[in-house]
Amino acid sequence: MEPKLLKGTALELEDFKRGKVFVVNDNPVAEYAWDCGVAVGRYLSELKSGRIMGRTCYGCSRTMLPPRMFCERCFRPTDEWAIVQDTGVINTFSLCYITWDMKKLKDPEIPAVIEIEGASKGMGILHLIGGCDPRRVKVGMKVRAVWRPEKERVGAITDIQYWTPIR
Amino acid sequence: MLERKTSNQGLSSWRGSIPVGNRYTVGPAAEIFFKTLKEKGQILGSRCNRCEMTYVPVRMFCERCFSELREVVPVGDRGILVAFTRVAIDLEGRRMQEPQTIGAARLEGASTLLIHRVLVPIQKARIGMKVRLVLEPLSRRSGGILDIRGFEGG
Repeated sequence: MEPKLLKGTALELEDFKRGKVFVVNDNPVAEYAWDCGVAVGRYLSELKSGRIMGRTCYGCSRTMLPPRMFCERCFRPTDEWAIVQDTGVINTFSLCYITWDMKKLKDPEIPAVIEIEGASKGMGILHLIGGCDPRRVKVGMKVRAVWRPEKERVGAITDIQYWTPIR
Repeated sequence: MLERKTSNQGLSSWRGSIPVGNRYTVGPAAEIFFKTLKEKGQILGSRCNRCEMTYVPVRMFCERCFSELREVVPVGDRGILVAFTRVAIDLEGRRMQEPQTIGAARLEGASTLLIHRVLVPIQKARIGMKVRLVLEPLSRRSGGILDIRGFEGG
């Protein structure tokens, strides 16, 4: 099928480099500081200390991860902080051969949802699988967190480098 | 559930920066306008004979009758100052060292106004005064509105 001819001027990167057309380049500074709130603030500071922190609601007996101050099922504030383990089970995963900015990867990144032991069933976080052959990765596989060294931890989810199979 | 902080230590926020670099092309009409301004030091406009209007700068269509504008006409480098104002705050909201005067002038043959710097001292500026365009020398022109230095008296 013939491609539809669209009106307009087709331009390529080379045209900009050569100054073929007049162009205004702008790089506004879009810095932000997003307040974490009580729950995520505690979650991140516990990650810095090398712990994963959830929160329990007595009403429905769920331990939520990441923690939340409010239970959306019981419509009441949650009750207690609860440290959970740094082991879990793969719920789902993907082999990703491109980066976020569309560059090809030879070895895939493996994002996965990991259900974490100590939290309620189905409570999981999105993270990366690493330290193993991508072909080994299966739903249901038991994994444990590989933490960054203490002095490299900053209070971010990346304080866990990746999750790796428990042999 | 509310959080009360009594010290500015240990404030928990996630900091980041969103890359929003962008490139804006001037479009086919302005391309003609700026190319001529840069290379020939001439101001061009677009003529709509139906509405008897000459738009400066060059436009693709008439905003009154929506006709496509294909007639490009030169306009003079002299005109009348229609309005002006003193600007003392810059784009970042800071007080400027030297306040500037910005004005709008109708060049000979144009129906619309051109806004630019008024180069006469503000005490000498008058609504209705004759002005002429002062351009940067050819070697300093890059195909932007600042290829025009501003309106000088006379």
